[in-house]
Formats: sequence, structure tokens, C-alpha cells
Amino acid sequence: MPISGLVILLDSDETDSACAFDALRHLPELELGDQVGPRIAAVAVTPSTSADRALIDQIRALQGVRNVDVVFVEVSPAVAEPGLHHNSWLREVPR
Amino acid sequence: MIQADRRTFLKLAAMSAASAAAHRAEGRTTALPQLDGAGIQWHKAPCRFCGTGCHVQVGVEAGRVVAIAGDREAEVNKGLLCVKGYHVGMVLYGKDRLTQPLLRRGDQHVPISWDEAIDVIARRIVRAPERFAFYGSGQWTIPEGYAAQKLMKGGLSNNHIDPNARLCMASAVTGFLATYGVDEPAGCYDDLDACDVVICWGNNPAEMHPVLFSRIVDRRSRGQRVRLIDIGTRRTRTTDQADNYLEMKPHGDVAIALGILALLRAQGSWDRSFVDKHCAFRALQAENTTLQGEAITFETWSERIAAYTPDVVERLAGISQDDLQMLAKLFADRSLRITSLWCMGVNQHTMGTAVNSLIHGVHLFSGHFGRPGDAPTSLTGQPSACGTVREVGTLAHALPGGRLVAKPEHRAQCEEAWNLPEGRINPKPGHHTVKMWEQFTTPAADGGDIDTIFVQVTNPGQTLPNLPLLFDRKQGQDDKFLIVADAYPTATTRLADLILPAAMWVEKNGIFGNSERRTQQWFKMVDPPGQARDDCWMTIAIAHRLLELGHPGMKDKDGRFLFHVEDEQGNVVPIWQWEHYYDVNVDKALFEEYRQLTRMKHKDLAPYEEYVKARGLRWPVVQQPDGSWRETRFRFSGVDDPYVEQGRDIQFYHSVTGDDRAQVWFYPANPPAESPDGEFPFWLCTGRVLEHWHTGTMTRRIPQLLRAVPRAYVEMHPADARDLSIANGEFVAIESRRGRVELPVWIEGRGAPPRGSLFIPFFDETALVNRITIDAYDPISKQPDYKKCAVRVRRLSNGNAVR
Repeated sequence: MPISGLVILLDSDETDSACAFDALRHLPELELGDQVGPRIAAVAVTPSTSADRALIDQIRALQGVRNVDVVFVEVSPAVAEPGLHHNSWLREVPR
Repeated sequence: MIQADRRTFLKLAAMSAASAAAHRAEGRTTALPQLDGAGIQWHKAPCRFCGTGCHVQVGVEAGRVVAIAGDREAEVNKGLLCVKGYHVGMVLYGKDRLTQPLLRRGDQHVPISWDEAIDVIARRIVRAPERFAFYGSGQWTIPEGYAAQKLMKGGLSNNHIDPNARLCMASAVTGFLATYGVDEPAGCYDDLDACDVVICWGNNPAEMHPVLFSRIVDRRSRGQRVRLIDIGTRRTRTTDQADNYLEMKPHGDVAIALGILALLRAQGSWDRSFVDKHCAFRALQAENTTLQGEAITFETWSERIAAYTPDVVERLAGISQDDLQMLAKLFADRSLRITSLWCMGVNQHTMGTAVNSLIHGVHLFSGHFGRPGDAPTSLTGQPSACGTVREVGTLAHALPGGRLVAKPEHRAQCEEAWNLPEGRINPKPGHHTVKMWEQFTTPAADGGDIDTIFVQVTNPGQTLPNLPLLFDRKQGQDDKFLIVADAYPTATTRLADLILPAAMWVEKNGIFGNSERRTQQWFKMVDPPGQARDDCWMTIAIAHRLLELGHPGMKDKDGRFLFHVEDEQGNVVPIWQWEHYYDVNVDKALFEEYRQLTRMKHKDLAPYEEYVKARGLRWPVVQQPDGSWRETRFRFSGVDDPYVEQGRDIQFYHSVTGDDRAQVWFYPANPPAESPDGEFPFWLCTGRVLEHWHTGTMTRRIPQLLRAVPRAYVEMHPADARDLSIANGEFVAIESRRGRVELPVWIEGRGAPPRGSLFIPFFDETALVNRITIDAYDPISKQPDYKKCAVRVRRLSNGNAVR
């Protein structure tokens, strides 16, 4: 269950930003924190790193959201995805 | 202090980082709790990737990095990070880390011990020291580069040391030297907070320096007016935010800069006071292309520049006369603050020195210099291209602190600092990068004079231009020996004879120097995997083995080892033995030795411990009467630079003319090395993408980043694709006079090249675009041009497509 810290920048249009705020409040993976001007601090807890990415894309796509900055990422082994080998030639090296 | 269970703690830490970043982005400060607990400890470090120099907080638990947060105390990034930055902790944990030395035997690499590996290298060097070369990078830490520099130039009397930074910012160096007599930007990132206009010259900071770009965009979100002008050869994410997009022909930047200067001159709208007080004029000699050129009069300069009228510039550069007039009008307006940004588009150019110098010239001639927000600022691509390459001087012609091997007094100063006998340092510059690899891949019988290269912290098998000539020819030449230290298998290790597993980033102590003269320190936080070891240790261990083998250069004139380090009790510490390497702080010892050499060119560095306390300090860092150390934001400017004489507004105190004047250059606009023709009708430009850093050896091992951009592609204009009956996603062959690469086509993708132009990113080792790029380079900086060569596109018969 990876944890991310986000800063969500809302649009200057008040109607759009109010809609976005409402939509954000209803995302179950998201916990909202301080609002500082047009920016909202938030924490996302998702089932996987790919779900984390999808959630950020979903937030970015909301009407009234101008940008999402990710400022904290958990990288502990518990949330690691399978690593990738790019150089199969080396895997054949005797160890 | 908050004590909490691990999950709660991580959530609190995430919210704390987000809150702090939100406050800082709005220009507010807030008292946030210092989080601690759940066994996680937090330490500062600069990001491992680009030259921006963002700081991160690294969360470490049980010997492993478990979380990354933007550093809220860092001036550079104010708590924010880009998509690469917040994944940076994962670079350590790819599954195929190199963990033991491997020696090629036949067609296999077999494990050997470190002692054997060091012995193999030392014996290769002893056999023919003058045929050995060291190839490093702007990802070397400052102590790593300094140690390599000292081994080569101070120990082996061999100047064949050059970094991959030759490929990315050598023309910026020559541009600064030609203009100011000293390297590196006078301004800093603070200019981005103060400017009214930002001009991106062939630069895409939205993807390449996203945190800096967000500083500009954030100002707009706070209601400030910042005009962004994008001068480029293709539309990018930077264009999306631009007020004006000026699409130029490849190589057109030279003519645009000349055209602005010509209009300022013709319209009488240049800053006469600034120019009269602070500038001189210069051009290349008729038959001698040198960095120094020759002085010319203002009248001669004016006559030459007058040829670049708006209609001529329109023809050469492809931008409209109205757009050129618009640029000239902006520069004519002294009430505005204008910051120019550039990076590889200007530097990777056969006229790179010229364009760099001309952009400086535009700012100087118009007086847009020396006030916060008024600055010509080149950005670097690597985290320590400035610190390790430009300041330590790990280039084939350079010595630490802005010195040159060709200058007797500079050699003498280094020999004195290193306690070496007089004459130890070789006065002849070594091979620059292209020449080094050309010599290495040329058989000895045909005159190839390099037979062993040690590569650290870079991947020339992917980044050199014209790989078939400069790298692939190594294959099958048994007398050539390639040593590669790296964290992962790469395109370079494929041809390596000896592979050394390297520690990376927070697995070792380090110091970087970023694009704005900011020197940044961090401590080792976790152990490297297996037998991976520090690059700096490798260099010192090789030097000591050379000493044991009797190489006389490994001793100073008092008979002490070149890397003599003592502990606080005055006992010699055998730092060449890995088990003793961390008995002392070797970084600190080397840094303190190096910083004594930084004052000649006023690049003064503070003591090591000052950097431990700070999130970096911008040089010159000068001690104040109260004992504190003060950094410098705006160099040559009386408002901030302590080396400007009191009462002067501007002083170019390293002027090449010795009169405190900067040089405004004239260069004629010459054609590129290769242009499209009937056989190869397309321009090719190469570059980077947001999600991957350089050759992707780190970012392609981060699943999130790889998934975002899994492979390279070729961007093509839809009309060109239609003409060739090519569908989006269809694989094509891109061919040049040098080679061929197969890639899927991306039409109307992230970037949008105009008709007749293609773009390919270079991060993908499965599709090496540098098999087709050209190895032509700037005659002064020796930096190759990766931004323009001629290619053709062929449909493949099997027509495989990816969607």
C-alpha cells in the first residue's frame, strides 16, 4: 500500500476549483490536508504503485485541477514492483 | 517530535512534506513538526539526476531507502520534485545491480576479486602510461573527479582525461570564457523569480528542468505576468506554456542572435552607457579559429553585424521579420528584466561557442545584465557538470580552479599544491572526448595511440555520436582494453574487458555542483550491494597499486603517496584498502585540498563543514568579518558580488582584455556540418524526455518511469508520414550515412516537429539513435552536434506497429 504526498493546484476559476475540491473529497484513497491559497496538501494511499500513478492521472484530469506535484514517495520493499532486467546477456554470466 | 507506528508515521511524513511544499509555493513559511520515529531516519541529499540540483530528504530504515520527500529547506526546489526526482530512491534497487568485478575471458565475463581487478588495471597502465585514458562524467562527485584528475595529471603526467560533459556543455564553457574570461553563469535561479520575460533558446525546460520551469509557471498561478518565448525547432511541452513560439530552422539560432544585435545597432536602441563602460568587441581571426580571437573596433563590429538584416535572418533562420523585431524591441526595453535559458540546443552545435557568445552578446549589448532577473543563463544536464567538470577541471586541457595545462604558472601552482616536483604536469592538452574514442577504436597499427580506457559513471557506448566509428569498432581488437565501472550493465559494459561494480548516490559520500554555482554535500546512508565500491576508492586503489609496482609518479616530492590521508592523531590511514576507506572522511580530505585551488578565478569554496550544514552554497563563498560564510547570487554585480570593487555597479574582473570589460562577439552564420539532401531528406534532432534521464540506465529500472515511456520512438509530422504512407506506431528504419536504427513512429505525440524534421530520444539502449548521429563538432569547444544531421526514413516490409 504505497503512500504518496501530493500538492494539488486548483484552477483560479472559483466554480471549477469548488467542483474539483468536492471531487477530491470523495476520492477514498485521498486524505486532504492544509489548503494554502489555490494549493491543497494531500496524502494518497493506494493498493499499488500503478494504482498510485492512475490516481494522480485521475486527479490531474479533474475539471478545476491545474497541476499535481508529487513531493513524497514511499519506496520501501513492501511496495516495490518486480525489477526489470534489460541486459539478458549478463544474467548468463557465471556467478 | 511525533512518535508513531510505521504506517502512521509515513502518512504524517507525507502530509508534512505536502503541507510544507504548499506553503512554500505560496511564499509562506509554516512551523511543521520534525517527524521522527518508526525507525526511519531522514537525511539530505541532492537528487541524482539532472543539473538543477534539487534537494531531497531520504528516509532510511534498516539500511534501505524507504521514502523520498522534497526537501522543504532547499532553495532550489522549495520542497517540490519532478517525476524522476520523487522516484530517485528506486535507482538503487534495480534487480540487475552489478555486484562483483567481472573480467572478460573469451566471450564471457567471469568473476574475479577486487585485488585482481585493481592489479589488472595497474599493470595495463604501467605497461604504457601514455596510452591510458580516463573517461568520466558530470556525474562524478567533486572528490571523485578531483582524485581522477590528480591521478592522471599529477601522477601519470598524462592529460588524456575527459568527461562526457564534453558532449553536453563544453560550448557553454567556451562561450563564458570567450565573453567574461571565466566560466559559469553570473546569474542564478533567483532570476527566474524576478524576470518579466524568459526566452528559451532551443530549450525545453518543461521536460528537462521541470522544477525550474514550475517556478515560472507558479508565478503565473499567483497572478504575476511572466512572458515566455520559446525559440525552437519543434513544439514541446514548453511551447504549450509559451506566449510566443518562434519556430526556427535547425542552426537558425546563430542568425537570430545576430539579427537581434543588428536591429539594436541599426535602431540605436542598444544600451550605450552599459556598452561604453563595460564592453569591448571581438571576432575570430581570419585564418585562425581560437577561443581568444582578436579585438575589433565597435565600427568594424557594426559593419559586420549590419549584414544580418531581418530579411536575411528570415531566410537563414526561418522566423518571421516581425518576430525578430519583437525580440529586438524586448531587448531595447530596459524597464524589462529578461532571462535567457539554454542547454543542449545551443551547446550541441557545430557553432556552439558562437551561439553561446552571441546570446551573451545580446544581453550585454542591450544592458540586460547584472540586475536580478536580467541574465544569460546556461543550464547543465548533469548533477555535477559544473562542480566536477568545469570547476575541478576534469577536461583534457584543464586543471583545477579554472587553470590550464598549457599555462606554465598554472601547472606550477598545481604542482606546488600537490607537492609535486617541478615539471610533473604535462603541458600538452590530452585528447578531447571524440578524439580519445577515435584513437581508442583505431588499431595501433593505424596510429591509434590509446589502448586502455577506464570509464567511470557514464555510458559512452550509448552517448557517443557516430557509435559505429567511435565505439563499435572496439569489438574484436584484442589489444584494446576497456574498463567500465558502473552500477548496472549498460551499452558500454557490453564491450568491456573488465567491469567494476560501483556504489551509487547515497551508497557513498558525495559533493555535487549544480547549474547555478551551488556546491552540495551529502553523506553515505546505505551500503552498496555485494562487492560494489566507491569510484573514488577505485582510483585511489589503482594509484596505490601503481605505487607498489614502482611508478614514480605516485609519490610527491617528499616520497609520500599521492593520496596521503591522515587521521586526527596524525596516523596515515590506508584508504586504498576498502576496509579502511571509511575510517576517515576521504571526501572531506580531498575537498579541503581541492578548495585551496579555487580562489585564483574567484570560485572560492567554503570549508567542507559549511556544506554539511547547508542545502548547498553558491560560489564564490566568502568569509565575513564575523566568521560566517556568505554565498554569492549575482556575480560581477556590485549589489552582491564581494569581488566587485566598492562603488562599481558592474565589474568583469576576469576580463580577457584586462580592463574589466566583457567581450561582445561577432561570428558569421556558417552552415551546419550536414544538411538534408535528395538522398537523406530529413533533419534529425535527438534529445531527452521528462521520464528518463540520459541513457536510461537508472530510470529504465524504475517500473513507473519505464511504464510511462517504455521505449524510444521517432516523432514525425503527420504530412510527412502521410506522404510516406506510414501509420502512427508503425516501425520504420531511420538511416544516415553512418548507420541505421529501427523505431516506431509517433505522430502528433508529445513533441511536434515541423515538416522535414524528426526527433528521437536517446534514453533507450534497445534502439541506439547515436548509431546514426554525426561526430562533427565545434572547432573550439570540441562538442559534437547531436541536434542536426541528415537522415532518411524507410518503411519496413513487415510493417510491425505498436500502439
